[in-house]
Amino acid sequence: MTVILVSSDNQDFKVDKEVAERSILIKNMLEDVGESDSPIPLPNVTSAVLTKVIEYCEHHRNDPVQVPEETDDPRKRSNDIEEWDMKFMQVDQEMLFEIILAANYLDIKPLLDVGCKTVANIIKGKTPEEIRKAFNIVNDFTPEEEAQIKKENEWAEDR
Amino acid sequence: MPLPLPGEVLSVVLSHLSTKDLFQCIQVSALWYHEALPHLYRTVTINKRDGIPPFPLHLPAILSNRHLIHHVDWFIFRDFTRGGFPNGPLPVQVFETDLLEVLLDYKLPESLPLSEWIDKTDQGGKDDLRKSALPLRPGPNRPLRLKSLTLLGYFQRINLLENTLEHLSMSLTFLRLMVQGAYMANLEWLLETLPLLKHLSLEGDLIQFLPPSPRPSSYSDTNTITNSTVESDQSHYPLETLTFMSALMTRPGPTSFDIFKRLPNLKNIRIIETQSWYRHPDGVRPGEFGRVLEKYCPKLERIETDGAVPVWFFRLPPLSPAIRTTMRKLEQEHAEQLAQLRAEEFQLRGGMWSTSVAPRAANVLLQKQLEQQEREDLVFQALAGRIKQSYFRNLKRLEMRDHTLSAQDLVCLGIQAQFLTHVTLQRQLYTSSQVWNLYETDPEVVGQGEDAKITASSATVNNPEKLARMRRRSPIQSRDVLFFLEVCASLQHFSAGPIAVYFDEMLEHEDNDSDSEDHESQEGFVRSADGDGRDRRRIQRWACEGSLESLEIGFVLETTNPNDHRLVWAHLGRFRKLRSLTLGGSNLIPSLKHGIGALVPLSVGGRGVNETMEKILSFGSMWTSVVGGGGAVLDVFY
Repeated sequence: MTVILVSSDNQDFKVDKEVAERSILIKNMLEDVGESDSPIPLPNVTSAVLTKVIEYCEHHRNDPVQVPEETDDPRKRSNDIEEWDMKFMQVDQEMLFEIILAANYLDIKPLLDVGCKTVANIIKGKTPEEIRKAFNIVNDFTPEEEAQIKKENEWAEDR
Repeated sequence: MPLPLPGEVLSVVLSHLSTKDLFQCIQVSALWYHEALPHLYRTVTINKRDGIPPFPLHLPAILSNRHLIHHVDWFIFRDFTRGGFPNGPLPVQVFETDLLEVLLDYKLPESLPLSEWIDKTDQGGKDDLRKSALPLRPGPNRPLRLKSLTLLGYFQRINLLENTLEHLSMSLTFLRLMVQGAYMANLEWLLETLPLLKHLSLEGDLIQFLPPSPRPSSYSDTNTITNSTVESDQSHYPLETLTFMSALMTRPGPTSFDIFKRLPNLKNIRIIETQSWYRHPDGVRPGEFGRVLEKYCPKLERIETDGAVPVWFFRLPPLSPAIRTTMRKLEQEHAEQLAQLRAEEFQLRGGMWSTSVAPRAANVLLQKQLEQQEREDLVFQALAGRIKQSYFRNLKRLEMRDHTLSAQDLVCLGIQAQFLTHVTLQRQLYTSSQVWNLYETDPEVVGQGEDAKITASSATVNNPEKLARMRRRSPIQSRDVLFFLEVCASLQHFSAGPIAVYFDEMLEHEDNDSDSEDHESQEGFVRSADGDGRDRRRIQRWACEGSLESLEIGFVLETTNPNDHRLVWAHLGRFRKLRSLTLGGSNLIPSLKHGIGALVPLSVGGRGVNETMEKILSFGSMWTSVVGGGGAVLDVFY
């Protein structure tokens, strides 16, 4: 059984239901609607991004459903990214962010995680100024505020 | 330019970062500060050394963010190296007030110094020990979602700590106490007080375990929060991981281990050796403890031991008398011949050999002799009497650290514990009068039946000869490791630690076939074993060929003969599931790794191969001096 997804720029994508259901949003939609051939509009996702997302879902179509493990202990978290995922995420930053936003919107937890881990890896080891530069962020702190934040939380500096 | 990530997504990104990186992130911008702060304070590590007070300076920040805290690691060190032993009272109060403030948002009344407060709580009989005269009233800003707490320190007033714990009962799932002073731990009380606890670790050389009291009625009075779980004696605890000192096994009383009957979810245990172990030679009942675990903790998967936990605790099935006899014989002859060979060698060479080389050479010679006769005999018997079922049904992983295993033990495990999938060897030698050889496990000790009274002394104390034999332990050597690998069929992960295996000992002992894969002649490397100059040698197959996934081992080759090295690589190439290979202390020539190519068609999807290759290539550091196209290696690592 296939499902038709329509991107924001009105392109149709025909995918297997099993693949589309990697997205919890679509899965829930399909369950609500029941058997239906009508295409599913995804107004927040462009065709370029949707192509990537579908590529991801195709590759991971047989993955077991993630058990929502409640280990919010960051020390136990694994930051490992699978080899395929790592290659998949080798895109420019704009696309990376778009994929993350799409994963968030479509509710594809593993993709969101992989994307966020990729961004986290970019942040690692950088100074605040380098982070701002990497992500084009404006520093809205006054120098005093910045100094105070640094001083207050000093204990964390060499951890 | 990239669009900004919305806060919720940024938060997911930040959740993957370490404290150090988060510290940088809060300085980026107001939005980042807002999103990163909760992650930064989620895990708070406090290292406090006496005399060096960085901590009080940071206290305000930690206090104002303490509602965000989920995990606290708190280490208090007494730094006696600075300024010697401090005069006057130890500044422990500072820590204890801090503890109250951070964890409970509780400030001691000015009028009542901590020392007095402690004195008050200390009064009263032993029954009241855990009741404070002055109830702690936690403030609203305490970390309500505190999930894990690690405390290392010298706690003078343990009841203060326990009072604190009572107030963490609704959130704490992980507790690790590393106590430097004396501490009477009450396992029952801890589990009752912290009903959500999944991981508990009680460490410290001076820890004693309070015997279980018949009915802890007084606890329910102080403990108003956990009333629901107190009611039933038979309630089960969710505990999955328990680390404890071996002193627990010396706990007096017939019901000492009853608590384990209420831990049906226990999956991992780790036992750390206590010094005070030695003070209770008679009270140790690991056999009984093992039986309770076996019966009531069916989910147990992993046992880890540090130090000299008696191996008969593991309740392995008893060996057949024939195997025991063979092992004893082997061991005895080994010792005799070694001594003899050493003496001969020494006379022969007249001290020309350095003392470090001679014993090793003697060893190699000796092993060759012994292997051919005795070992095959042993292997044959081992396989004939192979035990398929573990006593602990789900036990998969057995880690013994700190050189606990003797060579005798390893051989015995090869025969008895073929169910093991993870084995890690650590250092090489352990000789202690407190540890026995595994294969000497008395049938009585592992005997069935609930009532069998088992103590170390009852079985052996009257038989000094037997006792001596049980305690004769030799260091694990190459041949023992090889024997184990050749026999143990279900291994998935094996680490030989610092022990390397010798190529010569890996070879098949008899030349059965002449159609060996390696027909290349080896000019210049004529070996005494095959004088015709053709290489018919083969490496003895390992039983774990089909199952091994990760291997950490060293291969030591006496020569730089490329064929030798190819043989080893080809041997490794047979491990179809191997995904990780770590070669410590090896002198294998990496450029001859072509044997690994055999993995390609065999492994599914070829993914394992890439990873294997990556690991091998990234290994680098040990391959210090590869010279020339022939791949001769200069350095030989022993």
